[in-house]
Amino acid sequence: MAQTGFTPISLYYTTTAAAVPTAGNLVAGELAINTADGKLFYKDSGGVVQTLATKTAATFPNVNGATSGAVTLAAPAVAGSNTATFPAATGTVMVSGNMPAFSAYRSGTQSISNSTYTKVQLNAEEFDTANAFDSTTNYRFTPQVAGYYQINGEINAGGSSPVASASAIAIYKNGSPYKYGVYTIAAGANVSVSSLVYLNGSTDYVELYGYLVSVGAGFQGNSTDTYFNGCLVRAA
Amino acid sequence: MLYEKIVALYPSLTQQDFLTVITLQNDSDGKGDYIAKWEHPTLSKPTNEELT
Repeated sequence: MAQTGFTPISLYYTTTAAAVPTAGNLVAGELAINTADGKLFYKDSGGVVQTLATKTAATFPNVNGATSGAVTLAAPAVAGSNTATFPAATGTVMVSGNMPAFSAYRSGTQSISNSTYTKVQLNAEEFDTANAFDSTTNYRFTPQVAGYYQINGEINAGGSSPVASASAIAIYKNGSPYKYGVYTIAAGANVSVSSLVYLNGSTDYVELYGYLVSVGAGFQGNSTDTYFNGCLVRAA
Repeated sequence: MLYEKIVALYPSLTQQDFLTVITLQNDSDGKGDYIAKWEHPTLSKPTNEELT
């Protein structure tokens, strides 16, 4: 009902649910509305009736559940030059904020027993984006995002005199050997290990262990020779 | 040290043994070295008494 003294402007309309105007009902550019469905139609220059709008929520993008923060879908800088394709698969889109990465190292020589796999006390950090590496008590990485992590480690056998004559290294997962590096017979050598490791995002953890052949040997303490680092490369 | 005690007990052990069938370990938790694995085909795992 229009305001008193005003003539209402009314579109061609129907109150019948699911009714759609035919091409014969409209001229090109004319609008029509279904007040039961809340849909707006027009006839295009090709003579085809198109749905212009609907009162129901769009199915894409469909962003639910957020109570704060921002979701930005940026348009390509040049139309058609950039695309972001989401595959027809179930999964979680990973962004830097939920992809843990860390880099820890040994500061100061760590003396160890002869021929004994010993956890490297990685007591210094270069970065730890998710605060998932413990560099004070257990010297382990326990990320809270489940997935496949690229884990790398290296030790140097020249931390004490005499330097170790041979050395080995291993990634431990949940307290047990997971991957060994190459056993190297060379005085004061660097040995390394690298592997993909699945971590469950709650209780799983990885640690670095080293093995030196020498009495009084130790891990060299600096960020370039005795270190442990890693990051999430694929979510679970 | 545990390694030296074991080698004194079994002089025939080689470095290869400690990389394959025997694992000595230290978890850097203040509890010291211990035998994490002993799978030697002929030599039995030393007892605590033998290692003291």
